Amino acid sequence: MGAGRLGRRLKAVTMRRMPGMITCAEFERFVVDHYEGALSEPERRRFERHMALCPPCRVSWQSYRKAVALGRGLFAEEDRDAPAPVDEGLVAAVLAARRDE
Amino acid sequence: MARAVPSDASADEAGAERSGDAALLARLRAGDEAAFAELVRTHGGRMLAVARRYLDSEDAAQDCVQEAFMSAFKSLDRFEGRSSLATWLHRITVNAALQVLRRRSHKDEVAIEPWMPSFDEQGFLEGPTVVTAADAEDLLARDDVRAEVRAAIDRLPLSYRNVLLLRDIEGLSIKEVAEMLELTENNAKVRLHRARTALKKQLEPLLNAGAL
Repeated sequence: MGAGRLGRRLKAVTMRRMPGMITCAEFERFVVDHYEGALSEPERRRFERHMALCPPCRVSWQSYRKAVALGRGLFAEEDRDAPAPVDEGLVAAVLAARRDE
Repeated sequence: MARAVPSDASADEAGAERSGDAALLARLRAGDEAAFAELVRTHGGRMLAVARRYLDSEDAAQDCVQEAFMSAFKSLDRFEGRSSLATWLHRITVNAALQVLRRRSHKDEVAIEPWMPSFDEQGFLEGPTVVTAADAEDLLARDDVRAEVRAAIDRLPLSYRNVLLLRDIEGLSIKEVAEMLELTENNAKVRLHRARTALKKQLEPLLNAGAL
């Protein structure tokens, strides 16, 4: 048994003995609702408790939030920037389509 | 669809935009050909950028913008000026892009499963244990990061990418996303989570502190 596998087994045994502790797979199922602020208070406490004791899930949650922020920030920037000039072919096509209507 | 006015837009700028919109709108309603050309030149570039987010080819994006303009022209009399012309046209473009996608019998060409986390038989996860301290704004100052984030979003299967764009970029609620895409709310939420997870997985080399 490798060190990583042994470490996970020990973690599983330890965490399983803690009342109300969820697994990483259960934590994962809570992520989207936690992000959306849709967890009930007991669920939120279980989520936070698992995260406090599980470094991979803590990092996974931080990375999830950063990935969303990167996507949002990228397009917000694109929306703020001046767009490239419109191809006159598109202008002509739109005007022609309007005349044909 | 609620789209926020950019936070750095001053009241003066917003007022000038509305006043310019009103003048252009009056000419459009009067059937002034030059006003239609001006509308396309002023807003077409931004609309094309929006259409490219949803559609996978330049031709499809151009057709979508053309359809969006035709739809806007037909609705000019119903435009009440509650939002700016830019916001109104943005919304029409997103709707036109979604209509294009609905007409296609689309099958995702890329599987999302390889980007999903895997758990051991006990339900526990092994993964990175460090994440960069840099915030998104700092990271996005780098050209390579912007290119990678864009590429990662573009690599998502369309049916997942669209949920992510509508929720995280357009700011629709999950209920609104579900209605627009004709999904159940739960299905929309599952797709949103998987899309964000796939984005995160692809960006791990950037988000892992050791890589910066």
